[in-house]
Amino acid sequence: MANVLEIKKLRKTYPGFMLKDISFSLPEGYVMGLIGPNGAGKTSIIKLIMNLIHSDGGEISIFGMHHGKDSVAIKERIGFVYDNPSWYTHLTLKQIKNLIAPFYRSWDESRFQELITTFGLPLKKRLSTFSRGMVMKSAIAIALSHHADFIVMDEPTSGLDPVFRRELLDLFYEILQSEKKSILFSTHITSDLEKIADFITFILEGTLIFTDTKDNVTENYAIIKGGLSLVDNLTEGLFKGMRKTAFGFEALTDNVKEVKKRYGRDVVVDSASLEDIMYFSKLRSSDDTAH
Amino acid sequence: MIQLIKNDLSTGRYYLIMVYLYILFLISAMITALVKDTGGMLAGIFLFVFIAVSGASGFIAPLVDSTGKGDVLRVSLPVRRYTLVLARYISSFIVAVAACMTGFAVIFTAVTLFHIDDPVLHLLLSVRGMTGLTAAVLLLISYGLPFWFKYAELNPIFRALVAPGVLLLCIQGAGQLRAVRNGALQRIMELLTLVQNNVRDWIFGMGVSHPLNTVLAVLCAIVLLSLGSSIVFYRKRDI
Amino acid sequence: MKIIISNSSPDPIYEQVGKQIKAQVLSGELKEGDALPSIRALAKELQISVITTKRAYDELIKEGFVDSVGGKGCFIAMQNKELLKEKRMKTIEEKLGVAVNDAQKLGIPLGDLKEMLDLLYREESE
Repeated sequence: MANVLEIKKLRKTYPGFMLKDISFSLPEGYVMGLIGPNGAGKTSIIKLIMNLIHSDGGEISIFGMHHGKDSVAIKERIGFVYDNPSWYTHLTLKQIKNLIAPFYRSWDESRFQELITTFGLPLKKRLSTFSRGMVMKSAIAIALSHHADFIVMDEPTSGLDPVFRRELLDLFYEILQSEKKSILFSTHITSDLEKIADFITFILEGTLIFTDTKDNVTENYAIIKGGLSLVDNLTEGLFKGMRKTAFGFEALTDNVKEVKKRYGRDVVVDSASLEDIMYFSKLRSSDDTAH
Repeated sequence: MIQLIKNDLSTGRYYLIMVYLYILFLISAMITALVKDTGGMLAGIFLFVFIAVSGASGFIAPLVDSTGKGDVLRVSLPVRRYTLVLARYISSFIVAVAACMTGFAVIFTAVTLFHIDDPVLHLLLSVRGMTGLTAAVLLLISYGLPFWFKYAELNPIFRALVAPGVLLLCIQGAGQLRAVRNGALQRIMELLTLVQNNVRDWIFGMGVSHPLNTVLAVLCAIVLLSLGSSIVFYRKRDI
Repeated sequence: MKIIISNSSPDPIYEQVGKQIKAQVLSGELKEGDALPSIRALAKELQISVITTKRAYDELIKEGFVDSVGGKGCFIAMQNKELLKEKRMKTIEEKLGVAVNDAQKLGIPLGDLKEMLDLLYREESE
């Protein structure tokens, strides 16, 4: 199985922020969710992939090609959606489309018209009159109109209502009917695209916490609840982030089996959502910095 | 490439509004010229300062793309960065030359219509005046664009560097206005010609070539230098 | 074919898919040679990830319930009658095992358990 995206030991330093040796890969035909709280470095990774910013080390290859040297050939096959589509707001959607479409050899005008109709977007209104959701929809429509093999999205669902988020999901499933199409998206709202993601890559403060199939993540991670008497030094390695209250503790583990073996019926094991994982991991990392 | 230039020109419509505004300025300056003989100089200054300021700031950048974010979109498209730079240069130059030509046309119409006899206006309309002014504008754009490609927005450093230039121009303009009153225009023109000849001699050894060729050669060298540094800056920039 | 995914079930999703297809094979609802939807089509219908669906199919193939015919998709495998019966027996055994385990924890003697089983068996067959 070929990888559509392969990132090796990627580094980038900004004043006050650092991406530390990020490595992960996405096989062709699958969906990866890049998750993490705001400021974790998701957007930086996407910008590095799109060659908008330059890395301080490491390698990125897309479609098996070097992302810098072959950037034109690569970008021809990428559909991108950014968190903050930076468009000329004094233009209409039609004008924007006319600015972008000529750059893609495989631009499909009828597909674009179809998407615009489905999304209910006006072609002849200035973008400055669009709501945030409409701008996002426009970006998505443009990204999906040139038969891109790899769709890269930074926070595609922010500003979209739940109904449209569901519709978007259907659209992505449709694209995925081809085994050649892959999707990478970053999000901090994990619930909506959680369903479709095959792989989850979790970034926290510029560090890769894990990259794995979603099934493995949901299998290994869990929320453990129990009495405070159980909390001792032994739990240190087992629990990633803990919240103590007067009545007991709640903690995240990435090794459910071991916890069950050790504590058995003394604790309650709940499945952990991606949101739980983000929350507790963040707790732990802020603990670490406090000590 | 052609598409990029087309895009620049079509998104630069705010610039057109400014061009109309400046034509109005020019016309009002012409009317002043009917009253006093200082109007010609005023028109010239208007023309130059306006084009210079907008040109030096990479005309589209601050007017249309005030956030500098259009870059994100352009660089994400399947285009090389140097193509983006080159296209931006060409479109900037096209607009600047077009603006200069419009300016000359307006002045010419006014001069023939109202039979204005102003030495500055006549100088502006001579081949020498026209090439000189256009070259000056292109030079200013060449000076401004590398900054734009390095810093994108009207970043503080950029402003700090451009503002004194504009101020200098204004002071010079005001100074020249007074000079006209004192009938010292002739002397200033002589001085300018002298400086120009000296620069030419310095660059090309002994003033061999025709003045027009000299202007062109110097212009080309500076434009290429500017283009080169812009490409280097833009390639390295994190967007 | 009917598959229902529960998000509150403790079973992982791939297991839920696998179990339901197996159950339908065992009950005879799905017959030998029946075509299964493609992995990607099923993922779309169930709104689950492609890799989860793939894993469910892979396990079914490994257990011999499903054959993958290259390029054509997946089909219900030819079932060995004896093997099928054995498999069904095994599931019954597993379920009984759970009951026995629970009984032992509560200290219910074997005799009582047998009586319970007798009662249940007769009730069901009526």
